[in-house]
Formats: sequence, C-alpha cells, structure tokens
Amino acid sequence: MGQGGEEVVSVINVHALDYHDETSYGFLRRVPSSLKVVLTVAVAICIAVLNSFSAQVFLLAYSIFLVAISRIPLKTLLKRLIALDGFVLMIWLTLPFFSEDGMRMAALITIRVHAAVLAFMALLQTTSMPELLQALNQLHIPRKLIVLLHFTYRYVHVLGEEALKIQHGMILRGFAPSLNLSTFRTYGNLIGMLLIRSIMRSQRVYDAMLLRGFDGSFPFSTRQAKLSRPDVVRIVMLFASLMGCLVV
Amino acid sequence: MMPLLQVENLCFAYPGNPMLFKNLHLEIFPKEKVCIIGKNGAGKTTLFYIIMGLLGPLLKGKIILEGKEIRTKKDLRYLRRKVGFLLQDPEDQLFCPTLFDDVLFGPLNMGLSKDEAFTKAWQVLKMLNIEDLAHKPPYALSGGQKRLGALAAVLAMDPELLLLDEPSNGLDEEAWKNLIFILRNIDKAIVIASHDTNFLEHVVSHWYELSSGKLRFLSKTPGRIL
Amino acid sequence: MHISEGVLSVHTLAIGAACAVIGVAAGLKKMEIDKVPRVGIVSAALFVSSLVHINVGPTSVHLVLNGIGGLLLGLKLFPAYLVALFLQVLLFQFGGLAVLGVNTSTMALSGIIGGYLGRCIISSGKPPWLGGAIAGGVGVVLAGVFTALALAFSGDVFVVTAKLVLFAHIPVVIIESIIGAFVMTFIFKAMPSFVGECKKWE
Repeated sequence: MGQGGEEVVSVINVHALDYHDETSYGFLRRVPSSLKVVLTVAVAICIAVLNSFSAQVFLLAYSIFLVAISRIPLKTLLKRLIALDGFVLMIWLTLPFFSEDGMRMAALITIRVHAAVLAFMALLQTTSMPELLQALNQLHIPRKLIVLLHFTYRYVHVLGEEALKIQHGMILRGFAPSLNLSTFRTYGNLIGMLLIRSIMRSQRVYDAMLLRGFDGSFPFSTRQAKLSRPDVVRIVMLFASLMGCLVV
Repeated sequence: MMPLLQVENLCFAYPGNPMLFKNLHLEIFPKEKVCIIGKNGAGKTTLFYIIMGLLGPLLKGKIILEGKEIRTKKDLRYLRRKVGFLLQDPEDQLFCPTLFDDVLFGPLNMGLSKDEAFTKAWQVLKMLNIEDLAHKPPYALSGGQKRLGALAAVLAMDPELLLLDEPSNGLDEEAWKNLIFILRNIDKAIVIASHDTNFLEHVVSHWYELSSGKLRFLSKTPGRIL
Repeated sequence: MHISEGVLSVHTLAIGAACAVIGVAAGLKKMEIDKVPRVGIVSAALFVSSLVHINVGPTSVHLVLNGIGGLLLGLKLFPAYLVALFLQVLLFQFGGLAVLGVNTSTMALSGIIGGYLGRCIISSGKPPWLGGAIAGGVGVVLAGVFTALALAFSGDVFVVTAKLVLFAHIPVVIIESIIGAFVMTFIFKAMPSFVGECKKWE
C-alpha cells in the first residue's frame, strides 16, 4: 500500500482476527478449556443476575484477579478497555441526565461492563480456538454449531486476506472513498465479489472434504495435559471463590 | 506391466462451452513421475477434477484404475483413496482446527481405528519433517508450511498416485527446494500440472503437453539432480 | 449496533436467550451437517464484509448486512449470527456473553424478515437491486426497532437511550439499502445462480 494509503481507506484489519497469543500465559493456560468455558458462563450469569452493588464490586475484583493471573500483556488489555470505554462514556453522558436513578445505574453498568469483559478476556484469550472447539464438544454443544463456529473462524482469515487484496487493487486504480454513490457502488462490488468468492471456495473446500472421504462426521482431536495436584487445588479455589459473590 | 490409471477417449465440455477434451488419452504406470504442461485454460485442473470424479457427466470416455473401470460410488470411494489430489490452494484443503486434525481426517474416514490413524498421521508428519507444526491452526502456518500440510493430509490416505496442481505456486526458494527433495523421494506415481518448468525438470521424467483438447507426449528426461 | 454487556435487565436477557435458542435450533435443523462448512464460509464472508467502515462526517459506521445475510441464508442466519457475534466478543469485546441471546435474536430475526422480503421481490421478477435494497433497509430498520425495544423493556431509564438508538439508525438504514442494492446487482450480474445455490443447502 502506498504512503498514506491507510488513512485514506478504512481498511479491514486482518491481524485483529487473532485473539490468542500462545507464548506465555501462566496457570490459566493449564486449566482445562471446558472448565474455563463453564467458569466464563458462570461469571457472566452472576454479573447479569445479581443487582447489589457489593456483589458487583466483588465480581469486578474477581475479574481483575483473573486478569492479573492470566498474564495478558498490559498493552493488549488497555487497547481493549479503551475501545470499551467509549460506550461507558456514552452511558455517563446520557443516563444521569434523564432519570433520578441514572447516576446509580450508570455506575452499576460501568462496573458490570468492566467485570464482564475482564473475566471474558482472562478466561478465553488464554484458550486457543482448537482448545475452545474441543471444550464446546466436551460440553455437548450441538455438533453442527461447533463445526459452524470452526469454519466461520477458519475462513474469516482466508477471506479477510482476499478482501485486503481486492481493496489494494481498488486503491491502485485510484479509489478514494468519500460519501457518494460511486463509493457505495465500489463497496457493494467489493462485498459482492467477496460473497461470490466465498461460495466458490466453499465448493472447493467441500470437494476437498469429499476427496478425503467426508461422510458427515467431523473429528476434534482431544489433547489433554495432565493436571498437577497443586493446579487441581487452585482450580477448586477459583470456582469456590466465585461463590463469594452470593454472600457479600 | 498394467497401468495404474488410464484415461480413455475422454470427451468433456462445460455446459454451453466448446469441447474442452477431445478423445483424450493418458496412461500412468506405477512409480512414474509425469508432468502436464499447457496454457492457462487448457484444462489441466479440469482433467484432475474429472479423474477424481468431482466433475461430470462425461460426454464420452472412461477412467480406469488398476484395470477396472470406475462406475459406482464404491469404485469412486476406492479411487479417492488410491489417488491423492493436492489442490491448487492449500487453504481449501486445510479445513480442520489444527494441522494434526487435518492429517487425521482422511485416515479416520477410511475406517482406521483411532490408534492406527494417530500412528499414520505422525508417520506422515515426520516424513515431511513438520511434526513441530502438528498442533498449530492452519492460519498460523506460512505458505510453504501450508503446502506441506495439505500434502501430508493427502499422503496420510496412502495413495498410490498423486495428482499435484501447481504445487510450486507461491513458495519461497527454501520451501521450493524442500518440496523438490520430498517429491523426488516419494516412492509413488506422481502427475504434476504446472507452469514452473524449472521445478518440473527436477522432479519428473515424462513430459506431456495439453493443448486443443489432447495430450501430446513430449519427451523423457532423466530427473535432474539439485 | 448491538447492545453491550451489563446494560439489560435479567428478564430481557432471559427472553432474548430463549428466542435465540428457538431460532438457532430451527436454523440448525434446516442445515444438514455436510452443508455446515459451506454456510460457515459464506458467513465468514459476511463477517469480513461487516468490518468495512464507512466514514459519515466525524464518525464511521460499520456495515450490518443482516438483511443480505437473511436473503442468502434464510433461517440459517440464526446460528450464523450466534457464531459471528460470539466471534465479535472474542476478537473485539463487542457485546458480551450474557447479552449474546438478545443480540442474536434482534439481528438475526430482523435480517431473516428483511431477507425474506428481498427474496420475494426478486423471485417475483423485480430487479435484483430492489430486493437488495429492501432486504438491507428493512433488516436494519427492524434491527433498530428490536434493539430499542430490548432497551426500553429493561427499564424506564433506558427509554431515552432507546430513542437515541432509533434516531442513530436513520443514516445506517440509508447506507445499508444502497449497499444492499449494489451488492445484489453485482451478484446477479457476476453469478446469477448464487441465491439458488444458497437455497440448495437446506
């Protein structure tokens, strides 16, 4: 892409599609993925259901603890939170002015949003997609849904790169977006092209599956590391301490 | 010696298009290394698709494997085990969560037990020297690694014949040389469709050209040594 | 476009989740396991397309494309949206796990209705661009209405926010209709069999 190209076109960022960094996540990486999924859902439900301030503060503290032990780089964390805080700002700019209860609600929402996002990041960003698929399989999520999740994520990468190539082609031929009909036509063509390529690719992938004897079953290999005893104790404590939100 | 695969009197046209193949013949003998060159649109990929039973119906002609014509679905299943087809784009062929799952996919569908399939998968990965990549998702692999991964997935089904569609496309020099080394050492019949004559010179001994609907035998050259 | 975690009341979340379960189950029933990879790949293309941002004045809106999704995928849009929204939480922290049901229901249901209207228009012989425009426009109008309803249903505090959401949807509706029209025009020019191909997967 030429100089300044990036600021001219709001390009699709393909690199944002990888959420998981394999290098160094401590203890949470060793927790079996299915347990992490269960814990994520449990935390999300607690955050949604409990209405007292103290419970929400407890959950926020719990989430911060999770993030602290997840060893997610601070930079990644801040980037995510800043994106989130645009929404929180909007809540503060509207709610307190239109309702008596608004201030309290805005505060509660702020706590909830942060707790939910931090817990989610700590637990699922330490889980790679293959592990996640395997976990969902162990938790008896419908097979078709898991296969759908897998194929969508797998080919988002491929199609993202194709979209990038088409965009580069557009820029090289002098496309500069602005708010007019020809820009919309160009985007329409880009999307139409992407959809057509996706359907052609889906035919080729399906052929490739048939060639390897696809008969409707789709294996997810299970790779389970053995847990050490201290880790088992840690996991039990992790689950037990979540119960704290029910008593505070 | 009986040919491994024969294509006899093949006539084919895409609906509404002129005839692509006119009485095309091809014979591949066991362990023979063959290439098909030809212009874009000459039908190299189409020929592979027809052999694999992915395109039809044929206007005329037969596909014969080990002396037996392919007629039924069961024949076709057998053919797809005996003949491995490496697609042009490895992204189409690596559709599982990890490379290991992909290599496992074929053997499991062939009815191997889990243990047998695991052994087979590791054996192939080792042969191509990519065991380290086994548990990586396909989008984390480089272009050359993806190509080898797709080849591993194909080889895991123990084919007697490999059809390779532009296998050297998009490889850097190291991956390019590595693939030549691997293909030279595979003890199976190989048919390569490619434009990369430099690559072909290192691997194949029989040259065919596909043009105006027919295959023309060009020459026999001993495979060059790198 | 969709609602963030931590905002809606429990009963709204529960109703949303229940609707999503029914919708997703119906969608899954509509697709055989051997067609799932193909739906996933088209759904990936929609996901990537929705990452396109269009600058409108100082802000930028990203495309929704739920109507076009409905036109192509029909009921299968429900599971497709569940997956896509889950990926959005995973990749970008948009939305959240508890609110996944509500967001899936609002986006998928509106997309399916818009897409159904679009399909009817095209199969009655009217030009494809009209079908695309109706699908795109109706999809987003309804998505806005459903989202606003979910907010308003969660408490009086949110009524103003709900109105704001509706208001903010107006430019998006215009953009989505125009884009929808161009997308369908392109598809029908370049690959007329496309929509029929998608229908075959049921």
